[in-house]
Amino acid sequence: MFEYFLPALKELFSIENFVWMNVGVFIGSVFAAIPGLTVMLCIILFLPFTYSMEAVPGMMFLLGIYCAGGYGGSVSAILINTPGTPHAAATMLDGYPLTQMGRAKAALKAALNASTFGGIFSALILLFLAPQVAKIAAKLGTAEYFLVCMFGLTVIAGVSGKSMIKGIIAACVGLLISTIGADPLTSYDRFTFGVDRLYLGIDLAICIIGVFALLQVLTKAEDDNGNSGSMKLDTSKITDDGIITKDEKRRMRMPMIVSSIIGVIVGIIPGTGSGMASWIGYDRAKAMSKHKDEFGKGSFEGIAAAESANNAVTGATLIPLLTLGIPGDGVVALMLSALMINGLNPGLTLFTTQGNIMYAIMIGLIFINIFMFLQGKFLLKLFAKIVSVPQEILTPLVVIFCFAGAYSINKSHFDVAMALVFCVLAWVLRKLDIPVVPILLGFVLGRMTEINFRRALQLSDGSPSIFIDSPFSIAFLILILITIITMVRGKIISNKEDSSSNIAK
Amino acid sequence: MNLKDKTSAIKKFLEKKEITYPVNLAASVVCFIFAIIVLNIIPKYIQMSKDESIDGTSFPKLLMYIIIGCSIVLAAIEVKKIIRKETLVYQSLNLFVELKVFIILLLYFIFYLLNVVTNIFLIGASFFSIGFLIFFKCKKKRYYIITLVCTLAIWLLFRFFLNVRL
Repeated sequence: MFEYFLPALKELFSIENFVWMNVGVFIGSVFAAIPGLTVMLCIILFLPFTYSMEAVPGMMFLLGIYCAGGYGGSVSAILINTPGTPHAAATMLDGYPLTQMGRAKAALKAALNASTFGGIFSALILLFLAPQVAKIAAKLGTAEYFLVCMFGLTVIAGVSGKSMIKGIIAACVGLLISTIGADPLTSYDRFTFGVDRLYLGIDLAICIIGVFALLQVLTKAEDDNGNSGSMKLDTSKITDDGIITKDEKRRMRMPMIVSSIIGVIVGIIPGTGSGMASWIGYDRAKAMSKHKDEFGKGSFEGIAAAESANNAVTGATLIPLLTLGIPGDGVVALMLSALMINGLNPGLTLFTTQGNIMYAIMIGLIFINIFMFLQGKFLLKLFAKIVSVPQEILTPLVVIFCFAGAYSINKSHFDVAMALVFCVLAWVLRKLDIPVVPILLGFVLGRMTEINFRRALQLSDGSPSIFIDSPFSIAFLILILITIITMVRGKIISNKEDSSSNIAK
Repeated sequence: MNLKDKTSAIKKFLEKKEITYPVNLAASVVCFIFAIIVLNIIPKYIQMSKDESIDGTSFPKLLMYIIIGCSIVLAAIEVKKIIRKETLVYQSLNLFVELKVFIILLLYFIFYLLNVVTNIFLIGASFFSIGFLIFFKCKKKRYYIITLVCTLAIWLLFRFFLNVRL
């Protein structure tokens, strides 16, 4: 492992990489601070820029957006009581009361410190844990790999939306979309309907542009005038000196450490994400605190817990991505696409044959968090100015960017048409209350799942007993079963609570 | 009655029109039909291997069987609720909102068609940005100018920075 450190540092230390890190951090902070725009949308829009880049600068740019997105959402949550991103909702509970008390700068400083701590903690865990997980992953056979994919899909299907059954249906639709094009084992064409272009399959970015970005603009029709998210970040509210007292700092320490650990654990599990981590971290900190009554009224512990947890997810989600090729969420799935364009296929070989690049990316994540801290400290007022751009202007530009991005992937109008088809499909699914995130993850994992499923069955002459042959397989099957039981139980309880609260109303 | 009055009358009429449907039941029916259709087209669109029992059709078929199974379970849960006289989950479609969605979709398609027909991205993009602002009743001229300038900037960015001839 350490033999890669020096070459990785050589790979990382270039002006180009550091510029892209900062550009990514800046764009990510601005996007996340604008209510209604998401980090995912930001990465979708800027993904085409990475196609012409080398792997390291491309990943530095995307990771910069991803990490800064974790912090940026807290700016609007603290200043205007509207979380820029869903995972900043927990921060808002204590951040906005502090603004009302005239301590906006102190709240922003606490959020920034906690975010940076969580991010660096997570990056270090990634650096030391990912190579070990990759070694275990290398021991997995086709049957085990198939079960790992199934585990990932089960979790994602379970946590997305209200119904696990609908989540499974959505994951199957995603897996089906991944079968369009050449058969990975025989090269026969499948579902190409005589269209030559479909033989190459559908690009992940095309699917995401349609399912997420174009759909997001479409849903603006549900607002009255399409500019519901247009809010001014008023920096005049920042009137304090930003000083956090020694006692407040001391009380922030423990929640930051515990929440960072929670963030890492949540981040490793596919389909969970920052939102879940920040709420679990917040609840845990509240339960552990000696000042429970302050939570929700302007507690620095609350901000520290929520922010460190959501940023600790960033590095952890990369562990299953880089080692197994399983993206933890939609944003990371896009990064997989950026990696694969540069010929970097996840797994142990990535850590041995492309060790320099891998370690450069992982070490780079630490620097990204440092730049996030510096930009957050010195450029806050500039963020606020840009964030005040009206959404009437931003929304059509997002669509134009999407069309240009979809076209630029293969320089083909057909891809733009496919993105539109996916947008319509996502709209129909939305009307049926079927979640779209499992579609994306199903699509990403489709090829890997199918190849391992078919190879395993070919090895066993069609006998499904191969899926219970090894201890790893049995362990994953048990894990899948436990996950299903836990999630079904959780859904039943929450449905009962929902219906009883409806009756009460 | 002038055009403005007519439009607002249509708006008021559509705003009141809502279609409500049991969303889980609808989802189960749609997914079931979808899976049956895909199962039927698989032999036509995927070449089957004569030598192997596990071929290119196995995986898509398995997925469709799972969707059928899930649809049946979903429908069974809803039927059980109906028998027990429990409340079903309903979703409503407001015709006015859906009309707005349809118009934005139409703008997307016109943008796409203009790109294909003229092969000049700027024409489609300018049409879309102006169309979008008009649709959302934006009255500030400044916004139209800013959006058009930004459209040009995006084109320049792709053309000269990414070397993509849009």
